[in-house]
Amino acid sequence: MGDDHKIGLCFLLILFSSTLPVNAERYHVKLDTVLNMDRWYSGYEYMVETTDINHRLRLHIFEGTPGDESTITTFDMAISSDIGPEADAYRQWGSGRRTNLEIYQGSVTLLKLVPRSRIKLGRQIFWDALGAGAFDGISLQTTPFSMVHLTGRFGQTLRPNTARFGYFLPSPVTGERRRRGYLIAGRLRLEPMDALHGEFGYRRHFNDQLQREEISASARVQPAPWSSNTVLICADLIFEQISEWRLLTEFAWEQNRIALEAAYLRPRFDADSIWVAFAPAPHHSASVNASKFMGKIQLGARIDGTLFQTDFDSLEPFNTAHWAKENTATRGSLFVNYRLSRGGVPSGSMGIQGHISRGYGGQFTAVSTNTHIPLANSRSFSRVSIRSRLGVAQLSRDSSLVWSGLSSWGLVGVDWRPDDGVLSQLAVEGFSGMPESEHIRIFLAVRMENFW
Amino acid sequence: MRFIIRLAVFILVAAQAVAAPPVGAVLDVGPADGSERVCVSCVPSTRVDKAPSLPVIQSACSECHSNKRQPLVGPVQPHSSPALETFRRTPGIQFNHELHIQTIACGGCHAPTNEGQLATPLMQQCMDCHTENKMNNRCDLCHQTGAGGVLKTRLGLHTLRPTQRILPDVFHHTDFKTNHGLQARTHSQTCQNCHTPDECTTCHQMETRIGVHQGDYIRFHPVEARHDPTSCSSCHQPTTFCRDCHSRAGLSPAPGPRQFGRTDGRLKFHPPGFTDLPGTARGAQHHAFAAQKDLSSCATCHSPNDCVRCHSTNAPLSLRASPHPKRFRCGKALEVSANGCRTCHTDILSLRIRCQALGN
Repeated sequence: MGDDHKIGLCFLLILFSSTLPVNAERYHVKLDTVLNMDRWYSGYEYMVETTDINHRLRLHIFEGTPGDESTITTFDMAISSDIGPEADAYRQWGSGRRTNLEIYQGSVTLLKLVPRSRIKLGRQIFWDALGAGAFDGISLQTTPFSMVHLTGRFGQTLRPNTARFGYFLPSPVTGERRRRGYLIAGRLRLEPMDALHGEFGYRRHFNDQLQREEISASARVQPAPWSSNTVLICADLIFEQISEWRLLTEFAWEQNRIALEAAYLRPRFDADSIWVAFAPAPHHSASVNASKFMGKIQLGARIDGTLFQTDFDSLEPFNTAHWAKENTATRGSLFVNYRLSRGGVPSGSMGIQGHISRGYGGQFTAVSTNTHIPLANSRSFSRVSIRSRLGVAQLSRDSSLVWSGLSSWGLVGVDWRPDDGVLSQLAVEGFSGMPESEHIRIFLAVRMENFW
Repeated sequence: MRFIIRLAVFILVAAQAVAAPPVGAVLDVGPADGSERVCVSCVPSTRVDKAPSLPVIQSACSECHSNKRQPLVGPVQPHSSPALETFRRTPGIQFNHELHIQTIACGGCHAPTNEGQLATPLMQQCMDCHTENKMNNRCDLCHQTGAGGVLKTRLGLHTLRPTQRILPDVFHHTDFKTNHGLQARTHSQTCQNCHTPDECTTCHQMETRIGVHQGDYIRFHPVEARHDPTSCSSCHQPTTFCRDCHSRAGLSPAPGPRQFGRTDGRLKFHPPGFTDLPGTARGAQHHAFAAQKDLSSCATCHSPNDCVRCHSTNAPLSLRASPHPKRFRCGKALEVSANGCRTCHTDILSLRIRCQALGN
């Protein structure tokens, strides 16, 4: 019996064990099984087919008085199998393995070992102004005063696959052992008043061939109930440059909201990588987002644009290019949703969305509708609900795209909840458009949890 | 492997050993604040029922609440007030009347409305009062929490969500599902009132879900991937997810029956002019610009060696195209680590001297 089979067997044991009654005050168990069968026309002559099955277990064990726990043990892991039908040569997961085990979290949190502090040991994920991260190690969070929170972290960083929160790890590192490093991170959070929050962060990620060191600062100011402003700035200490800044201002009154965001992001790379010697183009972006509720109707719109600051001062002996058009891209979306209600209780929704994206190699426009209707229920939850989506899109050809034209798709899904803690989902999605490319996608999921 | 097996056995045994209610049977939605004990109506209920517009007489409160510092006592019936009834029906709220009446008169919160009914304070009023009195405004003071101190958000028919009026910056607005990164980074503590890290990894570890992308996204993704590649990598790992699909579709340098670079002219991932040589006008799709915009995407399929073939000081064909930007601080790069420099430059010593001469 190979390792893959043993892992599968273990997860079957877990699966059956988790369906047994467990004390929800002490154990939170959530188990998801998802089967996804997909088939698409690649645009390059032939059909591509995949079938994946994914089991995911999340387990929290609480020790101590409910509401005043002393220890929390957390496991979060998944096993996914690529079950075909393509040849093994196409599998890229871990040297072409069919089955992959991911342990996202495995930690013990001690809440009462040190007064006003919590200690977390093991594999964990975290956030700060630099983004999300993950590591194996120890973190200590303490609150010496009610308005001051300090956090320190030390450990070995995980391979990026387990820490893929885009903005934190956009660098082309791989899962090679030599790329693993150690993490030292600190965070100071200040909350002098409800209307003002501030945060400072430091993160160093290093080993003998890997260096990255950054600091961050962020603040949120809420001068009035209808106004909120957030600013964030990150700097690379090794090359002494600003790596990112963001500014978000929001206005909200009654059921209306307008948000304006501006951002600057410079790609980050490890200091030892040759990529840092290239000329990465920072991107500047801005977006406007607005939404409004009018009774049961919700309206929303968003538009955003991005400009890459391509460097024309590189030392290469090239001629100047026609670049301006290709350096900007815009996206916009618009939607209307109508909430259904029965006896004052929300009972579904209907909506229509439009989306347009242009720049960077093409343009597409898509319009789709969505419906979600729970069927009549006699208990506190709806046993069956039906979802559907219909959409059509126009893709304009560009030199880098092989195919352009009109595409359409439809989805019908049924959610069946035989019990508060069990949700079964089945969805079938069909596509048509490119000649001889019509196909369907099947999605089947069973989700179970005991802490409803 | 042994760890996994032991873990599985442990979980199996633990689950068997714990006697507990059936799965999903725990739903602790009780009346808010034990409202059966609230009060006798300040005005006789019959009068209120017949004439709801009658003004509530504040002094009548003293029939039950003789001293504001005393806890509520006596035979109790709920006040006949739609506002109070709404409050009582709202699950998941916990409120300690006994604590509050030590400092606040009844009318402070339950002032009569223009319709003559007892008012129930809005959440904003509670928060304002706490702020004025330098009290904490933690969510779990009023909202029930479950194990681990996380707020209970699923309460029977109701779902607890942050409201736009109270918390505009964390309001789950229209595109919150795809644009919540800044909120999570700058005040993640607020998120953690209701969410555990598991919920983040549900999407950010690419658990299969339907509904994130528009239906036929496979056809449109190149446009959006070029627009905002970091957004893709927020959930998808380029070196596995992207490369896996591209490999299946024949868009990869990996060997296989559909190998990249076939000569039939249809299996080209890169557009024409992508690798035009020096001396030619670079088109917008030239790899120099593509690399500047998103080097991570290049590295999904290519190793540094692919770049070095032309960009190294030892490159053949006399290309030796320098990838460095004009303000490149080679001295700083050498000071940090010469590992990257060695990829192209064999003579580090002379390089160091040149950098010193350039003063950078």
